Amino acid sequence: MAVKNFFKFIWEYFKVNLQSAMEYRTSFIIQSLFMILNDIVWVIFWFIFFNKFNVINNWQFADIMVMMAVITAAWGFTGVFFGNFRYLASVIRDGQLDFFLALPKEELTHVLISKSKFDAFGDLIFGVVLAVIFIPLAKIPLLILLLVLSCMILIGFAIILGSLSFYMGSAVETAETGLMGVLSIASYPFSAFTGYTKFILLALIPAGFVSGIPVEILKNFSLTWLLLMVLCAVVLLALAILIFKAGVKRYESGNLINVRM
Amino acid sequence: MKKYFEISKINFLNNIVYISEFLLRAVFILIILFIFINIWKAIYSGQNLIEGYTLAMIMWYMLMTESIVVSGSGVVKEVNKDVQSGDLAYQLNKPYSYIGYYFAKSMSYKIISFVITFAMGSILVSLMMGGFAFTFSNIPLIIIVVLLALVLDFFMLLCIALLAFWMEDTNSIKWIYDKLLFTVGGMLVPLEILPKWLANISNYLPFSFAVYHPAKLFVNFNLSNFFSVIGFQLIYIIVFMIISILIYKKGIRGVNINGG
Repeated sequence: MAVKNFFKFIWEYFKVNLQSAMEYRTSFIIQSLFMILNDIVWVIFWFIFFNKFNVINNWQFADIMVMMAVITAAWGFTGVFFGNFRYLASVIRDGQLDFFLALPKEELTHVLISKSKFDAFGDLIFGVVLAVIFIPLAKIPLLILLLVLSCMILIGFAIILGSLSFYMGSAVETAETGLMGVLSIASYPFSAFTGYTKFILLALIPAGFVSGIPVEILKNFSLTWLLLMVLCAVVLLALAILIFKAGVKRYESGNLINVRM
Repeated sequence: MKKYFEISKINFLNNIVYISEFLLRAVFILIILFIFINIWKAIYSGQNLIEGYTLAMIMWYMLMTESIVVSGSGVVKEVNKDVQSGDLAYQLNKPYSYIGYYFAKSMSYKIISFVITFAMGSILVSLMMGGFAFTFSNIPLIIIVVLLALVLDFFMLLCIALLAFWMEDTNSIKWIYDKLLFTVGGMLVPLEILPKWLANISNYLPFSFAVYHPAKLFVNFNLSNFFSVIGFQLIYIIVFMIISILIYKKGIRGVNINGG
């Protein structure tokens, strides 16, 4: 019942966010279209790149397209349903957490879902279209599972980085740079990383699990890697929630008066 | 002239206060460079030279292109804000030129940003590549080309920014401009990597004189190319300066200031 209520809560907030997006229809369409155009520019870039070099450590153009499908769909989905994930640091710094703490709903989920990013719709649409083109139909259920895990990892990273604001005063720029760093690593061929670098990107800063490992699993299914990815997603998200909750205990209201529009 | 130098100086000091912003941006560029070092290492395995570039040359080339592009400038956002908020009215009756003011302000920002990104990136690239792929004696000449590249970038951005007189949001045009710098400008890869027909066209476009040519000269200096690049840069700077003045004059004629 609690799980059902949790998803219903997310869905209802999504509907409200969508209605709000429709109020700014032109802006919504322009931002989504520009994000799709942005993604298309990258497809053209990789096409030219692989036309010249054919392969980067076993990854070919089709693998990069699968990687782009995974990262754009995961980033897009997270932005559409948990749009505040990129702004957690500023929510904490600006004292906007007061509003969420005063309500009976669980505050972390509430903060994350209270915003929906317009451009994220573009990423999500692009990712889905690319997945349909480059991933066989039989692998779509596996892709959906991998996307859920990818989203969990992205949200985990975002919560940990955003929660630094509890401890540093303001971690807005650090969180943004950190998250963009994770996104960048996930947006380039993971096959380029070998040796210690690969180990670090899987074990210490598990950015490799966001898109690199999903591409490998979709290419050659490996139960071991899938289980490792599940473990990574669960541990990272659990750790992120613990850090956030510990931070909330330190949080002091700024008595800032905010108007929520 | 002195007043514009003072504007530059004040903005320079203001920007130094927010040095952490520049440092964090430089950290992000380090991540991108680190990714590309790994990608190019994989591509170069077993090869010494690709299109006339060694691995070290490619990485120093990328450091230069990234440092130029990331130097950016808030001119598009700021002009947009001036026009939309009406702050433009306050700027017009000040004893300086609107374009001159933004030139002085942007150049101080761009130079600090370039120097910090380049300095931090140099440490990473020299450590990972085990040395330098440029000649130190050419540095004074490269500084001239880079400064002209930053000026050219500013005037191209200013032309986009001034469209705010007619457009509600010029950020989308800026976005297209960024993508042109990334691709036909040569930020992500040298133009030699592009298909021949596209490389030939891109070679003469203004975007490549802001990014590709300065970086190419940096890793593969040639005196006759240096003079040719400077010549093209000056021509494009004059062209975009004239265009921006014309846009500004036309735009300002349509401005209505009501009370205050």
